[in-house]
Amino acid sequence: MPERNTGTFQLVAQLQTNDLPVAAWTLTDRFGFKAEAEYLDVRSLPNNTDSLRLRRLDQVIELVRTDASTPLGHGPFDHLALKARDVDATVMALRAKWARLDPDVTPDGPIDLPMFWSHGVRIAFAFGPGDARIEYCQHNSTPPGDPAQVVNPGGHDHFGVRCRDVDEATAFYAGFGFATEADFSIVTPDGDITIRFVRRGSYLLEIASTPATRAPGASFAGHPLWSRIIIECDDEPRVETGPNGEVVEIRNGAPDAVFHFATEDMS
Amino acid sequence: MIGAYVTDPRVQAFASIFHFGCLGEEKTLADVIAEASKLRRSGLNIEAFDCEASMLDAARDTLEGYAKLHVPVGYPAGNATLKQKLFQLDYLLDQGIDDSCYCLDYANLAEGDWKAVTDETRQVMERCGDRLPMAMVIQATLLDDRQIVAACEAILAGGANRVKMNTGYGWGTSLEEVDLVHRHFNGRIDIHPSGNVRTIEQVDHFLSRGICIVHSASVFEIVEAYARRLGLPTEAGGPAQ
Repeated sequence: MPERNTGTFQLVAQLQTNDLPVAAWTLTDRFGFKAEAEYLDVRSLPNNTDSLRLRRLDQVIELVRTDASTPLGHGPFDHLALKARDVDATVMALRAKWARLDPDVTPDGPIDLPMFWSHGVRIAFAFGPGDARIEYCQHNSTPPGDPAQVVNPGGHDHFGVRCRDVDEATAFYAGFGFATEADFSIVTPDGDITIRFVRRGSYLLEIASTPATRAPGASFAGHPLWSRIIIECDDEPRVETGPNGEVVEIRNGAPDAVFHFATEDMS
Repeated sequence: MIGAYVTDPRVQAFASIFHFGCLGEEKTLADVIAEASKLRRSGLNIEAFDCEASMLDAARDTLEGYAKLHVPVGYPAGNATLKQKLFQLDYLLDQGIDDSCYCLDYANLAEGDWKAVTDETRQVMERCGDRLPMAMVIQATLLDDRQIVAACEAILAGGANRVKMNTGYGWGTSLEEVDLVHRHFNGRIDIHPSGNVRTIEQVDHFLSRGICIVHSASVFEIVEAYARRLGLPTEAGGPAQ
């Protein structure tokens, strides 16, 4: 897990929501995220709260409030993937709190993808706030030795990016320091899904071109749920729009993540 | 006892699997307030604080939303009439608590009256709907392996999908009991170990089975042991060796 605020690197996933307190509670209650900087009962956030950072291990989500009437949908940033030590148990815990699985991806529960990495993965897609996709990914080859990832579910696994052309998208993310790690493909009746994983530090992007994203006239939602990748590092601050409309922001000066708790007078 | 290590996101994530509480007939209002205050001072962002219905207001006022509130029904052995327990459940639903468990009638479990277990579970789950996450308590330690499996089948048939292995309060959950349920029901039932969870080694075992929720009165000691494992400074003995 990377160190915070040491001049290194952190990837933050920005999520747009029409109802910020509900979204924050969903991420807290079902997905194990907590307000990053201090204890916060997210159910009673002030109505005018425009953004909130939530963290689970090395994954930070920046919730951003949008107008209640703004229609949100799936954009080029398709999903956030979190590690799962046991994806079946994770899904069961989600179901116990009425979280829905994505009927387009894993309608019946976790599935195996043996073609990924050396020993395959077992995954499930659930709906987060506003039906934003959250994947849980169990690596069959992961040794159980990492003390930071023993909890189920865990922290960052990857961020799923959808594109028309993998090479084109790879070139865009190379400009932010991401280097190719592995290529995979999945054969489907509609055509191949081409997947490339690119990495910077401990953060991974899954860049995928699917028959749907390559189809003539294909487009992404104008107001995407997962709306932006924020890279917190010492690089020159900037905001760039990629070939599929995705927005990547370089941001300096990550907020102090130290958790404040000991200031209350409990006597 | 509580150190600066709680600010570490890894420690917070680890702490988030735990329920900590103050339950039992001998626990006074002062005890509940003291334990809730201790939790709040700790900075540990645990999953929930457990207390009995009569102590709910005190816990709520002390925690002020700091942790979710988990209140059991029919604690500890389900020895009340179904009507009494459902009345208590209705009260808790009205109170808007965050999480609960329901102590099944132990006589039905011990005598193997699985139809009665299913019927009781169904009535509870129909009342809860999608308003309150509910775990069914089966007092696994007092059952043999076949009874544990049958009890889980019975509550599944009644519409429940979470099982709390024991109530604590003298009944402890063994690693073998958790393994048994995991082996038979992983992916079909959410397992909550409870009772006599005292060490990080026990928690390691539960986590290796994908357990997401653990009840323990020793959460502070276990989290500190985890911090030492990460090499973080603790008052009890500095970084891990």
